[in-house]
Amino acid sequence: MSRRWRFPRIFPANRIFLRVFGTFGSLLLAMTVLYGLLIIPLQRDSLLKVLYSQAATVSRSIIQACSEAMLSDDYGFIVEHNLQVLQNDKGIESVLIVPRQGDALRITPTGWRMLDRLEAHILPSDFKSESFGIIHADGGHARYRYVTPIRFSGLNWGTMRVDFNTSEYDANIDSMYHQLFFISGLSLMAILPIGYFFALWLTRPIATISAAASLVADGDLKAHVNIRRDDEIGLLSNSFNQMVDALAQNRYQLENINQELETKVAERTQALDVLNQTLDQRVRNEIAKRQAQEQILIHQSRLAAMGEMIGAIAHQWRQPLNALSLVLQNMQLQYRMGQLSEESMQRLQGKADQLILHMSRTIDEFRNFFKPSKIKETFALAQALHSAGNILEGVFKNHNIELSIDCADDLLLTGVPGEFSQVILNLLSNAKDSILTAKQAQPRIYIHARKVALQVQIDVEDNGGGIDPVILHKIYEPYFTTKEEGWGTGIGLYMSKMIIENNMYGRLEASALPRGTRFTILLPGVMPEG
Amino acid sequence: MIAFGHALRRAGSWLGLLGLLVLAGQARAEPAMTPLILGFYLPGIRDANPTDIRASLQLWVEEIAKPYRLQGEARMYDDMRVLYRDAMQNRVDLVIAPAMELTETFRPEELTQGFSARRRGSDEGLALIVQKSSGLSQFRDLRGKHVLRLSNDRLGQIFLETQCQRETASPCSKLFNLAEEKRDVQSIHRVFFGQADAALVSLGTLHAASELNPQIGARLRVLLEWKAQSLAFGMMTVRSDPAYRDLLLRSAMQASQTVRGVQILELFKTDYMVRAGISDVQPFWNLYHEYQDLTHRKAASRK
Repeated sequence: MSRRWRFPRIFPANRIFLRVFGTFGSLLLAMTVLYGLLIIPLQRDSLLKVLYSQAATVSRSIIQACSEAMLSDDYGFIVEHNLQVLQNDKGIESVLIVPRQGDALRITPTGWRMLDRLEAHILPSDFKSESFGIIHADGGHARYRYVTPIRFSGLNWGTMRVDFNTSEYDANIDSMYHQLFFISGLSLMAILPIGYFFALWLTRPIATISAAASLVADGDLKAHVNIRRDDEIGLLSNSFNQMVDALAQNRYQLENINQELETKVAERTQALDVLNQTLDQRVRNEIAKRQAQEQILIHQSRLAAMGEMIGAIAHQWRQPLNALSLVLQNMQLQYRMGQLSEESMQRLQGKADQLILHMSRTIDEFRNFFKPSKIKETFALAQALHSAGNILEGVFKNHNIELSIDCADDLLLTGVPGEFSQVILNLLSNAKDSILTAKQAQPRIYIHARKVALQVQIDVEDNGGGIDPVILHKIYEPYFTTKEEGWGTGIGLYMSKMIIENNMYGRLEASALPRGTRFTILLPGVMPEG
Repeated sequence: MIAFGHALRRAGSWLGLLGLLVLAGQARAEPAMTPLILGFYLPGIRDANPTDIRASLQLWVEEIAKPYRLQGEARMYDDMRVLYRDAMQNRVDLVIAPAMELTETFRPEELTQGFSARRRGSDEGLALIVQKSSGLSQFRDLRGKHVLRLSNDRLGQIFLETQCQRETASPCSKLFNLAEEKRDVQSIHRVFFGQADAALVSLGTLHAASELNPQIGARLRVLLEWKAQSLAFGMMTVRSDPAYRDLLLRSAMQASQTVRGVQILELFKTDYMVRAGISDVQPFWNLYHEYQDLTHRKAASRK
């Protein structure tokens, strides 16, 4: 059921109606007044021309009729004729005839008289050309005056002046003003209903469409306009209805889509609820899996480190074992030669004990290093660095690698010391591998630790040729290695980063040096007690 | 009607007026059983087309008579003898004619009562005018002068001729150069402007001309004056119906009391109507008799 919007029955007091009505009315009234103001001067000119024509005709007629009398000085005829003319033509106020010779005459409808010379001088008898126009007497009385010379065959007989009353002219002018006023009034009276219906005709459809648009804006998409016209407004009306129909259809489709969406959301919500119910368990499983993988990785890393350490032990023990072998050979030789005395026996035994003690301490250090402790504690950085250096001392000496450690004794860290040593060992081992790969003539590893603000910065630098910048961002990925197969596991740096950043809340970064690499460890510092 | 008004000059103007006023006044009286016939002597009306005058008078008679259910007829006569015959045979109820023509045609015992029109402040009659500066002080001084009188004016002719015979015992034609003008005012103007030495004009016209230009009164002088009640009369004959006489008299006297009567009076520049009797016409008979005596005596002496 579509509700059709119909014209409002009552006059709509909308602004557009008032504007159109006001504009239309003002324009029409202004045009009427303007037309009147323009036409009145033209009419006035026309009336003046009529007056001139009348005056010239009357004057010529008088002169022609009186020509014989004038030439024969028959003033009686002149007077009678003019009296008759004035009685017949009420528009003439007076006729003044001034001959060049003789007495001047002034004739009015109520009488006539001869003028004395002084009076006659108001009009020259030898007037050259005609003149005419409206003049105003002292009392404000207006009259149309026509003055013309009287000539007969080139003879200048005198001058005649005819005064016409302007009552008809004034009446015509007044009539024109009255007509203008009347027409203006009539126009105004016509404008009111015409302008009303015109403005209504013009604005009502707009107001109707506006009202319908307001209904549409309020959500009533059943509002339509019923304007049947074959102009742009009719087209607008149809377009509006089509637009509303399209909007209604779109809304219907939108509602369907929303309904489908709501259904899907409900389904998804239900699925999510189910998922949420198992999510905790899955998260715990994933975490456990990850931790297990980490443990595996750590274990692998430890195993790899142990492999490295076994090599290091071998290098550590080779010299004391050789020395111990020499002590035993010397002891056997002295015994065969019978030169083994008590004193030499004790000296050789003492030397052997020292060697064995040294080897034993080496084993202790390794054992301490690989002690699977998980307890965090505060430890001295310098000691940790030197322990790591000692472990690899044999290897470095074997490859003539110079290890320098620059660390103040009062620098303390908090964490698992074994894990931190594992990181340092990993970095030193990588540095050693790089140096060996680069076949550096003067291999050197430099560890420099210092306090920076509240943190402790540890730089591990080598001159092993450096890391290709292309792979710099990948070196922490697990199982990524640049070493030949069988020589690297690819988990050393990954584990180091995890230990530093996850367990010790620090940062591990690598940067390139002109001939090597620098690994920088930033860790929270610990204030020494006391 | 303005042309008509101008046309009715001197005696002629009274002729139309008298007839119309009778009709206008009678309109308030009882309806007449037979048409009222007004007999106009047409030559008494000057300076107008006779056809126009006939049509105008008839139209106005009917126009005035119609609202009062009165039938009226304006009958025109070119010959006073025919008018006299019709009047004496009772075919004309009212005879309207210049006074001199009336007295020449009718004897006093043949007429009874009638009316004449008057203007306030104006005497009727004749005046012989000259310029004050002309030095003419007596009628005799006109000898050899240029004198004007109205053409077709029987009264003026008889009056002037009577004066000539009375003063010099000779006709005017031998006393001065007599010329005729169509209208009195022309004569007045000619004397005023020095184009004539004297002119015989009606007193009413002289008075009107002086009103139009006071210089006329100042410059001209009346050398000889002859006064009368009027120069034209509307008179009933003794054979007219006495009932009609009262009706006509009463109507004429009430003319100035009716709207239409006042309109007609204004149209003919007349203020009121006066009753006229034989005595009012008598001076004209006297003049005419004197004229006859003088001219017949002269003729007899010639025999």
